[in-house]
Amino acid sequence: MSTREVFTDRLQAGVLLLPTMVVSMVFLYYPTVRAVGLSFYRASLARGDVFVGLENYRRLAGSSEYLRSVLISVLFAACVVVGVMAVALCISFLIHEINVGKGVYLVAVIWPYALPPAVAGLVFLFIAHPNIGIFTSYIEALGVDVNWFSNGPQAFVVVLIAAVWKQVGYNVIFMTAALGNVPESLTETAELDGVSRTQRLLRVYVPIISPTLVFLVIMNTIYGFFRTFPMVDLMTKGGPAGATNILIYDLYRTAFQFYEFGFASAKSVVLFIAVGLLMYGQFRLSDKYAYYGG
Amino acid sequence: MVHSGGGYDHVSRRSVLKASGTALTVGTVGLAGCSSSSGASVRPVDEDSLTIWHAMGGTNGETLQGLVDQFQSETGIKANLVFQDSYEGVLTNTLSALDSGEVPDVFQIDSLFAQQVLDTDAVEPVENLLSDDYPVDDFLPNVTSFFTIDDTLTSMPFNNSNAILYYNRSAFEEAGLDPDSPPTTLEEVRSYSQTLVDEGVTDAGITWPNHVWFVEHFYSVDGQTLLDAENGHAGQPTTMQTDTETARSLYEWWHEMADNGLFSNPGIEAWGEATSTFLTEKAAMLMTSTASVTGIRSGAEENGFEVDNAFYPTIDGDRTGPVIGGASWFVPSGLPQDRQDDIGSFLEFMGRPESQITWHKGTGYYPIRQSAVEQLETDGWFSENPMYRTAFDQLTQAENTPATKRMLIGPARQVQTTIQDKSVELFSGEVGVDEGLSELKSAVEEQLNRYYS
Repeated sequence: MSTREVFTDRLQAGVLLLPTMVVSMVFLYYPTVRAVGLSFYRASLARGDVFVGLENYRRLAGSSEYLRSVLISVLFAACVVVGVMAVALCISFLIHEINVGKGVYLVAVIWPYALPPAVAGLVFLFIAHPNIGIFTSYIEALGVDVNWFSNGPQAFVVVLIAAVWKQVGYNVIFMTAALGNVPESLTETAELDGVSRTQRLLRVYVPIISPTLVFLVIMNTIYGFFRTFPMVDLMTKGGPAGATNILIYDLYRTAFQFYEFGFASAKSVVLFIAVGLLMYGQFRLSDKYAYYGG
Repeated sequence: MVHSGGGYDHVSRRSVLKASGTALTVGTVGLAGCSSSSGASVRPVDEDSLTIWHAMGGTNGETLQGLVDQFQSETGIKANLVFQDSYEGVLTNTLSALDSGEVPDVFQIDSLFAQQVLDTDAVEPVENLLSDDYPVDDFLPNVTSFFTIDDTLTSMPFNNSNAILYYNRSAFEEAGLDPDSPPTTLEEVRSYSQTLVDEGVTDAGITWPNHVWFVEHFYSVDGQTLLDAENGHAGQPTTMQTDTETARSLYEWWHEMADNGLFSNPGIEAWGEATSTFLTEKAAMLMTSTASVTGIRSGAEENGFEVDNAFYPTIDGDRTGPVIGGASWFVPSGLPQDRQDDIGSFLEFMGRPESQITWHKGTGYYPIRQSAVEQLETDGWFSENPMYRTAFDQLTQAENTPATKRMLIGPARQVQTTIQDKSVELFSGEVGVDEGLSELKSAVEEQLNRYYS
């Protein structure tokens, strides 16, 4: 990794970079700049755009509904990250330790990840539907009143479970691979020293695979904020009473159902900055705690 | 958006940065390009053929295609149906099209979004496209009254329906209720539901999708407008009428029904789920569109029970009438004259009695021409299909008042969402009725005020 200067010829490097640059410009950077510009307008389809300065941002700052959406998103993303990683770590460790049928377990765990998000959302909807769900009657037999179309906290939990279920497979792929790279000698040493299984996982393996874990924290954060959209859209539509109205869904609704594109752009800019800051913080933390081997 | 980083055998700090940076940016794109300045000249999507955007899926779509095929062979005018998945899909694409100037010739707009389309000032009143001797007064007045604004027929009504009460006769009998006297008021719906649940016949008494249309129906049946300014037909409305006995009775009842497990909540805009709940006999009553008669009848047969329907329940016994739902055909303005003539032929064809009879029989939507209704009557259609008779009687027996004209507002989707979301809070008891209604009122006022300011 030390030889940085692969290309001495700048022109050659530029030509090779060009396709990526063009695609990024057209599909990422230009729209981003446009969205920032649009956030200063009152823009709705076919009714003309009016420059309104910071009005959209002022409206955001004064909206208790939006504030609630921010809090719900942060809570949701935090629960997703913690939930996914805790479950995935346990499963990965079990798969790592077992000697028979590793592949079968791995495939079983990765399966939900292989589903397209929209399909996963629909599947989960019909598994847990309060009236016609496949598992609903069994869960109700345990004494739980399944009522998440009306009950906010229950809806939050159901969408959270769906989101975790979907993302665990992705994490397990990375974690089992990272665990597979832990030197056998370390395991042997730990066993000789009489370190218990749990201690071995938490004190030996986790620090060693910390770069992978940092990577996963970040990917899961993005997932929690952005990619859980289909589940919310298909299962709760942000409801009931805004209980699952995460920012990305709120943004979609403002733009593509209410056609308030200026206001939606302001929301997207705020979301972009917020998640950007969050990640910056995560990198600073990871610099302190992750072990990159160098 | 998934990046595998630098491969999992060696995850470097740089690969982590790279992957997350790309993923993050995606959040903001997708919005740009949604807005542009218009003013360009209007031209059709396809020069060689009429382009019709619609939202009729499944068998309804097939019936529509059949009509269009017939139109093409009779007139020699080419017409191309383009399915846009949903009313929202048609609306979004239409607004973008009107914005860009490259437009479909005809588009099917849900009555809820009519004002939003009119506010673009880019549509031609269909009355201008119909020939002078076209018998506009043969349309059912309860239907055309909604689509007529300032004495001009702005769009061509096509697929229209009301909401009605369906009930499971077999379940009623099992619970010892008289299947020939279905409930007519909220109180009766409650007591019937209680009996059905107490007798262990069904899990819940009644279900219906949480859609603003049903709230609109409760208001109109009770003779009340939902919004001021005659639901938006007499100017720009500013508020929702929530300080009324109608609103309080409705939401108190709804909350009690939910609280006692008599109302099964299928979810927001969950048409399909509500119907399944009824057809799988988890609830013995269902409120949904009159256009569902055929589907519900065959569904009930499959599930081995006898189904019937009755008028939409009233708040307290007084009945004004239902509001119209469904959609109409809109036409963009600024197309050349010969093009407009072809479009006029298309609209006239879709509205003629023969087409309306085909359409009604194929889909369950109302035939909207009086002569079509008379023809069906002579053919004995209504006596063979008593459920259509009930649906139709509900429409024709209605008074024609401002209350029975559905809300006509620009920010319809916002107000709709607000009412639906707030309804959940109200019936689930998350807020009290008085507090919830006043919150609902101010939220609707804010939406209206923002749009019209």
